[in-house]
Amino acid sequence: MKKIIHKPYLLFGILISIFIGGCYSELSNLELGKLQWSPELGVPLIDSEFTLTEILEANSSDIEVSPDPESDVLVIRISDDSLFSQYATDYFALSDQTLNVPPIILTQEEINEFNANGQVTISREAMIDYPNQGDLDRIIIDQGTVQTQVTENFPANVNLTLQMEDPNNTPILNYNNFFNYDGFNPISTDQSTDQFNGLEFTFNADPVLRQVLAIFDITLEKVNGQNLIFGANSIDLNIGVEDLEFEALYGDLSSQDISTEENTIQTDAFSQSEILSELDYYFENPQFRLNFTNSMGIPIRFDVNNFTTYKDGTASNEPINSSIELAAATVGSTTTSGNNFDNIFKSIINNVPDSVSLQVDGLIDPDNTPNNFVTKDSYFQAGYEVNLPLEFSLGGFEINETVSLDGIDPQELQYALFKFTSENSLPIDIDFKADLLTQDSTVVMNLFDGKFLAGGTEEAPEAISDLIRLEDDPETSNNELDDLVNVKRVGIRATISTTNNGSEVVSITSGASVKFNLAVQAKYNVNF
Amino acid sequence: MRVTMKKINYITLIIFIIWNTSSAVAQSDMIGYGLNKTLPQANNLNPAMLPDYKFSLGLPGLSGFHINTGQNFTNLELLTSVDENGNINTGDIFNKMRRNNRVTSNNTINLFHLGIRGLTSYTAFSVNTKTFARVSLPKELFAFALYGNASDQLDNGLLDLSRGSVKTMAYTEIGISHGREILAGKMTAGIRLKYIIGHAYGDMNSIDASLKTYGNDDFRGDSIEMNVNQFDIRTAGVAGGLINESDDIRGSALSNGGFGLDLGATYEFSKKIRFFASLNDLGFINWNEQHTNRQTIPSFQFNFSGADVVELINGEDLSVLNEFDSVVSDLEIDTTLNESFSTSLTAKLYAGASYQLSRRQTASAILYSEFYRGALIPAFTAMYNFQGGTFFNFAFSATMMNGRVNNFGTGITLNLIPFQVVLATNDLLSIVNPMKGRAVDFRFGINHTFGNVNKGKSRAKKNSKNTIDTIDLGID
Repeated sequence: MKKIIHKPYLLFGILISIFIGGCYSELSNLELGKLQWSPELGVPLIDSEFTLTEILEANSSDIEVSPDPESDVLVIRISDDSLFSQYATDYFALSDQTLNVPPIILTQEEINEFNANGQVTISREAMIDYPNQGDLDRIIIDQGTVQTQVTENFPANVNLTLQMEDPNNTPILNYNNFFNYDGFNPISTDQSTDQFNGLEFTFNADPVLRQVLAIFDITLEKVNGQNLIFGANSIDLNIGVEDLEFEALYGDLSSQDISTEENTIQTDAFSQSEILSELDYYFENPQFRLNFTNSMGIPIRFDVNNFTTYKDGTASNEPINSSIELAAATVGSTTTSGNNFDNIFKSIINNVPDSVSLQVDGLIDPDNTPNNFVTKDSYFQAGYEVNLPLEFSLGGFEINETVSLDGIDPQELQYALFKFTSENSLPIDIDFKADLLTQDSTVVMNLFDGKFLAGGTEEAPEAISDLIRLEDDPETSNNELDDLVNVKRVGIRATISTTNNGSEVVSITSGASVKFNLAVQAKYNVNF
Repeated sequence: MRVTMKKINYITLIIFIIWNTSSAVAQSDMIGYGLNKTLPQANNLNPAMLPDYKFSLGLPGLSGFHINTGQNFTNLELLTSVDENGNINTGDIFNKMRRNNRVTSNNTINLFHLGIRGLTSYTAFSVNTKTFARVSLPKELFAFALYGNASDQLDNGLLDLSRGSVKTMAYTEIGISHGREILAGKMTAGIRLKYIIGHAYGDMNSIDASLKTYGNDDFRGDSIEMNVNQFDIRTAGVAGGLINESDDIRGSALSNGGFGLDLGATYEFSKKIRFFASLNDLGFINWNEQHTNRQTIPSFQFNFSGADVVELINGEDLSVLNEFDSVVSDLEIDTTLNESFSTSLTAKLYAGASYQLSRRQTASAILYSEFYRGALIPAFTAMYNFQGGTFFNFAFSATMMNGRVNNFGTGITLNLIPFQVVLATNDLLSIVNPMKGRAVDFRFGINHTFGNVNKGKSRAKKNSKNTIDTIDLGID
């Protein structure tokens, strides 16, 4: 009975298996096609509104741009406070000096005591004048060294202590030595070098204030019972001060010539660079000012001799021959003076120099005034300030540059659409050309050639809107985009000029701005 | 490139989600219902269903698995069709997509099953490990990838990226059920109590986002605007432990407790008509606070119309991607740790009636509903069942969803002494026509089954006529 039942079940199972097997047979020939799709992406790239001030300040931290409070014209300010600077220590110094220290000779009573007791101790003091170099009223020595040489010929053991100090009791020297007598040769020598700081001597007041106090303590001991004879022996000292650096000098300081190297004025902003072609510009009202500062208590006269301009390797002098007097400063302050050289600078800068240098001489204390001072920190310096009101004309300003562009796969690009819009209230035109180039600079395709910004005014800004389409030309049999595979570089030429191709002077005011938008829409193939 | 532990944890989490992800139709087990007389695991669908076997045993590795994984938006036929150039027809694939495209996976591994049939009752103990994952992807997301943001195919440049969501969960249920005849055998009622150990959980509730590209017919790309509303990403169990870089992975997998309840009943209206219903997976898992992580991504808006020239001169890198990356990096993502939370199981309702066509043949109608995220997903199934004792049981079903019959299922149990083999699918179309299939649904298992209660009853009945009251417990 079971066999009868099982047989249809078996047949049913076989039929089901054949049926399902048939269903799956098509899977054995299953093949996936090539997976390719073509998305279109739209991406905004630039959306910006900027003034010239923002662009200039973003380009260089050395440039300040601010509007003129009256005209609202933008003024570019380029300055350097320290075209050159020199210190008083470059001109004044203290020379080495020798102190006139008398020899030490024992009195008869001292000899008698020695001979009687075999030992004697002597204390002496001496006031020694400090030499007045250059008839100054007062000097403060910041630091120096003292050289001490001692020679003695006592036939005895000698223990010498010498202390020296300035009128303010500042120690100069603290010397001690024991001279041992061997019983045969009584002559002994010794020398030492010591440092000192902060001495002060006043020469035009109480004489004590210019003297060094020397204090001697000497002990002699008899050797081999040998007595001393009055006047036969002494201690000789040779003391000098060297390597002196002054803290301050007061009095009639001598006149000193100032001669500076030629000082180059930063004119990079106007000079040529590799990416710029010939510039043709004209500034209506450029201003150049030299500023001098003096912190010495002594007057200075500067002679501004000439500008030297360099262009295409040729130097030419533009004489100035102007003097600028700087009064003596009081302690802790500075005096300043300066002069504008606008006309000559206008001539120079509008000639588009590669660089400009300035030659300046001078004389410290030209009238030999009697009461001067300098400190070790005293200085004088010269700086300049260039103000360029943006009332100018500009033409022929071309930027040529190439940018590497490896890795374009044009085969996957169906089209690229660039959209740009601009609204310009600056009186400046920018023409732009971008070419796709091969390695040997052959033009494969022009990307753009036309006006990028059109000069306008704040009241009537000029607007430009354009679409640049990069795609295969359906009229030709070739796919132009295929040629992009050879593109290695993008050649860019930007031509910038003021309105009317730089033929007239324009003014740029603080509110003039550029609105600029750039976006791209592209369709490309994605393959797997 | 140095791979950090955090990256490994995220990769592991992504693999976990993807592994569990691969039908977007309601994941019913109608065929299991149809084979209830001989399939011991059908008791999991309705604890009031009393199988004919007197004793059944399912052992780990043998008692089988049920895989149901699929999607609702494409099939092999679409994916392999090519245009005249030999390219995959991506446009057709996209056009056939739904507004909301789901990839769902329900997998059950029966680790252990022990069932004992009494004369009027059935008691079972079972251990099942289940995984569930569902990813919902809005059609516009594919539109973005396929057409880009500047395509004229988009409606006014708008890409509505809302309704995206992810939910994935793994747990083991340890259940004991009891069903018995009541009302003098006219009715059976059953209940299963389940202790649940949650292993891993991750969800990202509905993302409400949009991307609009402004422009006109001539040019599309003037500016881009993206809006994303606040959403949460929650993880717990192993997933939470990995993100929290916890060392206690074992603890994170085993320390999450919960309870579940299945209720069922059958009613014999007449000798030929029988009604039945079950309500399954009423319950929750409480995820241990030590292994939870909730990240709240705040609402944000991203607008980009281009870079500022001055900032470009100053050396800033201001491409759209860099700007977006900057906005995302600046988001103040609120991370909450150690906050316990509960998740409910996906409740399912089966209700239907059967008509005894003959001694071996039955026809049934079953209504299935699943409660998912507050939505009721109904399906209606017609079922034919042929049962040749406990030796052979065959079921065939047709399911109707959304007003049309779109799925067929079939299954058999075959008793090869002393084993019972079960093969079943709830998605016959995908098997017999894999080119148009959207899902893989397959059940396979081997059970040890002993005795036939009908045989005993039959013999007892027979014997009752002869006043002999014995039941044969021999192997069938």
